[in-house]
Amino acid sequence: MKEERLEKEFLTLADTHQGIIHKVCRMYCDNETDRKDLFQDILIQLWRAFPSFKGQSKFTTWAYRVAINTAISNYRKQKRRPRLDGLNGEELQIPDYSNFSFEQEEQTQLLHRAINKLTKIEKAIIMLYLEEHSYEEIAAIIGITKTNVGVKINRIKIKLKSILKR
Amino acid sequence: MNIDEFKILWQAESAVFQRVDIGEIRRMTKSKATDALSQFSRNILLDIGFLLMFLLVGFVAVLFTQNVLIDWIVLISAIVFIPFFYMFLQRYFYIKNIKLQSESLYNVLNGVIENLSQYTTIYFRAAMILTLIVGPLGVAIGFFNEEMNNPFVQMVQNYPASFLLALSCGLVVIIVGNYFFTRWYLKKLYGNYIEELKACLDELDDLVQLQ
Repeated sequence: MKEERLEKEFLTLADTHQGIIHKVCRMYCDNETDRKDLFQDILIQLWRAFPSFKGQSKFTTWAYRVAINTAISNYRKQKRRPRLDGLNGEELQIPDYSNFSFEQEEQTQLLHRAINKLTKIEKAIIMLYLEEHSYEEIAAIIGITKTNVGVKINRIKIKLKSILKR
Repeated sequence: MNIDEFKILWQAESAVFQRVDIGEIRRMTKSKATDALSQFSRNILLDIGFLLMFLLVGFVAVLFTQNVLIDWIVLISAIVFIPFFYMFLQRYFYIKNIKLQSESLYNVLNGVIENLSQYTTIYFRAAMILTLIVGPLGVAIGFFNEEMNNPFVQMVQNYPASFLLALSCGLVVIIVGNYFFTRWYLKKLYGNYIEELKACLDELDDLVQLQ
């Protein structure tokens, strides 16, 4: 009974905040198969860890921590066979920007292309920054001090600026 | 262009991903994890299983044969493998206890690198010791076993010096070959992964050293 309630609660939260997982997958995977696998792995890790989630932090902050830890500690070989037990191919496609204006879509694509040139750590930090997490939260997720977060964000901004200028 | 200008667009992007329905999410949570840590812990379990199977086969051989050399091989293997068995178990539980939900990325990276490096060292030593013990003792069984009255043994008895030379060369080739093969195998399996994680950790360490 308790398990069912826990599962229901988890599924509702995971459904509401699945955008977080999609974003992390898009950030760290180049192809569709890897994105599907990572999406599933993050969900499994979130579900396994959910009983210990006591609401001390926001669910989104907690989910980002699990998702980033899973994505960065993950390793995908370049050549791999497609998984048969994954999603059926219709889901998890590249985002549908039909609600975005042409200019917004172009800017978003530009941003993603620039972010793709960053290192894994830089991607994690800038993603949390763009999601408006506080320096304190970013520091706790990454495991560095608030000052270091500030230093790193400034460096990433400069790097992104120069990439975007090209 | 300022990166802060992208914040609103970035946040709005959450809504444009094609949603996965709850039923599919539920199904995925019940699936087998394929992430690196899960695969790594499964690999350690396989190694533990291999050690246990090796010893089990040995004990069965002891029970059903009356060969003292086999008894010695099994006894020595058991003595050698007990510490490895313990070390593999230790790595397994350490990996199982890495908490992706409460540890910082820095701690996760540190933990995985440390464990993986120790695991590869243990694996390498176990593989080398296995070759060093089982190889020569296996040959000794064949050589000293009087029941094995086959043409090969007779040839060996007729030309003992040539046999010893060939045997020594063979063992050296096997041991050296196993040394390079195990190194190559571990590098192929975990080398790039460890390097990748170290690069991430180094990046964080560089920041820490700034202070």
